[in-house]
Amino acid sequence: MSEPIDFYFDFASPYGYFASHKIDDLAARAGRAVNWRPFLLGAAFKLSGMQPLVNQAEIRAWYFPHDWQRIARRQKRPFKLAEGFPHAAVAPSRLFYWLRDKHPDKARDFAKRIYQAYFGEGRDVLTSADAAVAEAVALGVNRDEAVAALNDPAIKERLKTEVDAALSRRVFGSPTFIVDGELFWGHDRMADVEEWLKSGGW
Amino acid sequence: MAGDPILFHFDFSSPYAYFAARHVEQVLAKHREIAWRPFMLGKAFRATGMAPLTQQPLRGTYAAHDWQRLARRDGFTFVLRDDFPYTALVASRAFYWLESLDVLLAKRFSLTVFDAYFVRGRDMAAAEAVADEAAALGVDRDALLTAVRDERWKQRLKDATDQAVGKGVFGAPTIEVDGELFWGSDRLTMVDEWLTKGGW
Repeated sequence: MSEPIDFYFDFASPYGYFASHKIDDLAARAGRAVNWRPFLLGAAFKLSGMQPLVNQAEIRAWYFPHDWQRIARRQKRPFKLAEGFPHAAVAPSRLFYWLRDKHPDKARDFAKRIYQAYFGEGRDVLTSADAAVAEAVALGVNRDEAVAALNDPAIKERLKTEVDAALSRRVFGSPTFIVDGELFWGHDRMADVEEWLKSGGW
Repeated sequence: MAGDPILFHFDFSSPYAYFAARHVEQVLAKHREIAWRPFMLGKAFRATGMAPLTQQPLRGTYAAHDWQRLARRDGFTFVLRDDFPYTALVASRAFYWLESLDVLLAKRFSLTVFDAYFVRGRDMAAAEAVADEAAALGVDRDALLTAVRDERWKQRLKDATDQAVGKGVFGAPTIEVDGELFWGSDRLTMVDEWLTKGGW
């Protein structure tokens, strides 16, 4: 059986947001499933020494918001940076993995809702547990269950395990795609990912 | 072809710039003239405080793997010398001298210099090596060696670097269309689309 595509992303990553709109169609064309895998870039930054793009030297930092707006226009998607961007996406990432285990049919839609709120509307649903829970509730998830999950040490551990697993696979950026063991970094490389799947690699 | 030339900002020591250089004319020349513009990337790096890619943890390993993979698709074996990244002052000055004589020759020279370093694994820092590679294209060795010591071509390169950095260029390759900057060898398709559609 063909392996699913592993789609690693951080909810605070604009390029991850753009990739999230395309990955399912790409996978469908290739006849593969997708494992959506949120992780925390902050943990990767500790290993790579990188900083968020907007916090880097001005000679570089100006380019990325410009590029994000340009891609958003091309995708005909809304794009707005929340005040205080970027935020740490611990709450929605924990909720995602809880949903994947308990309500798997809702996990991907939850991820899409989080991205739509954070980048489509510029609303911080990453650092506010209430706001993240509300996105799950909007999908029919029980609020008390979701709140309990967020506070459950096992769920905290679950996310930590997922992040550690990503880092051990040498994931350092968002988005990252792993297809049949081959790692591609960047929204810009999705055409290469598709070609790799189609051709069997080179 | 209406419109100002496309500017292809690159550094001879940049692998991603090499991959772009191999394809930029085929992808974009149908829209406009492309003016190749070597600049000294080291100056831009110093402004960012970033180390060269191969010296960065995790990202450096990925980059080396990515260059091999890109090369395989293009049908060659990529060679990463121990002196990577080198300072391509001589080749860059020589480019502007050659461009003043024959634009096409300057572009062929550029691809030859890239090929010498990244495919044949030749040390391209020294003036002698650059002159050798140019000689294979029919360029007079002594004329090149004289030109790269000439203040005029030293200044031309400094100007090109300052202009690139002044416009916001921070990495190689960067493609500039009517002041719009696209960074990365993986943006050729996007630039093609930008030119086809007239932007968006």
